Amino acid sequence: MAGQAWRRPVTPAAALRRASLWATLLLFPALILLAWFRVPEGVPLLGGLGAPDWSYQPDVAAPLTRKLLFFHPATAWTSFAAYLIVFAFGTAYLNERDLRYDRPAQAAAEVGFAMNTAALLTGTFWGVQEWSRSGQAALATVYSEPKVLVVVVLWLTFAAYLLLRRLADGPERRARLAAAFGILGFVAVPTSFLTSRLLATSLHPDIAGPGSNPDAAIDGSVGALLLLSFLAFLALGLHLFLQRLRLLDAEARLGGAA
Amino acid sequence: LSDEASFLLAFLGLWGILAAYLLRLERVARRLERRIEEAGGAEAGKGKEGGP
Repeated sequence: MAGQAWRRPVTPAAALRRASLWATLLLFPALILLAWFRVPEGVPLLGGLGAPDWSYQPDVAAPLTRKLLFFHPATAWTSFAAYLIVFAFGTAYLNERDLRYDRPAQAAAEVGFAMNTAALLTGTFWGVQEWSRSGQAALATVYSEPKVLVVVVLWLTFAAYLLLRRLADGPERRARLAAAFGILGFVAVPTSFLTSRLLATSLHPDIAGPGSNPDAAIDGSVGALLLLSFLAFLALGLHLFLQRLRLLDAEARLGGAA
Repeated sequence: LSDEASFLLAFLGLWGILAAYLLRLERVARRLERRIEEAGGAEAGKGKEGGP
């Protein structure tokens, strides 16, 4: 009807997209304000396992590191969740050979790569700030840690994955190669998880679960803030994933129509 | 401004940029979908007119 606004029917994907958008917009200010006004005092997160005594005194030498606690792990966990989606849809594609499974894998890989980059940047910033206080070669200390190296390998693998998607000819060949690459790349995610549990490491102490380091344990309020930060980044990652998927679906519709 | 206040403002500024980006992304995607739908509808109409 003339003059009536065009309205698309609300699909489950659209509802989820809208929910993740509002969750992102509400959770981030809550996180920022809580992290600011409710910042834990003296959390010895890096104090265990023989590292120097990092008591996290506020605004002494590394004021930003206290806040990075709510950004660095959350971006890393969100990237791992995105890579899990790449793994799942890559496996589904190789089983079914249906290109509909390739698009979610691509969208998730792009979001995962962005989050992985954010995790590496915040981690580098955090590590360099902290370790330069100890008189150690800060960058070398951070990048010689096994877990960091595994995550760097993960980042390089998915950088190659995205490059491969641009270079490979033909949608089927591209999807097949990308699925295989995504599945192989995902191996680094459980490896990274196990690295901090099986190898002695002072940069990423095991802070929860059986066998965790009591010196690096976090109290309830910090744990709640960490959970909030994870939910905020998960909502952002989910929203970006759904938007990217929407665009890829639109491209596929246009490609099919051409 | 103290360090604390500038730090808080920087984070809130980043959130503002993020919010503006996400809302713009939503608007652009919606417009794109509407155009695709309209182009599809026009194609279908043309097919009907010129059809047997």
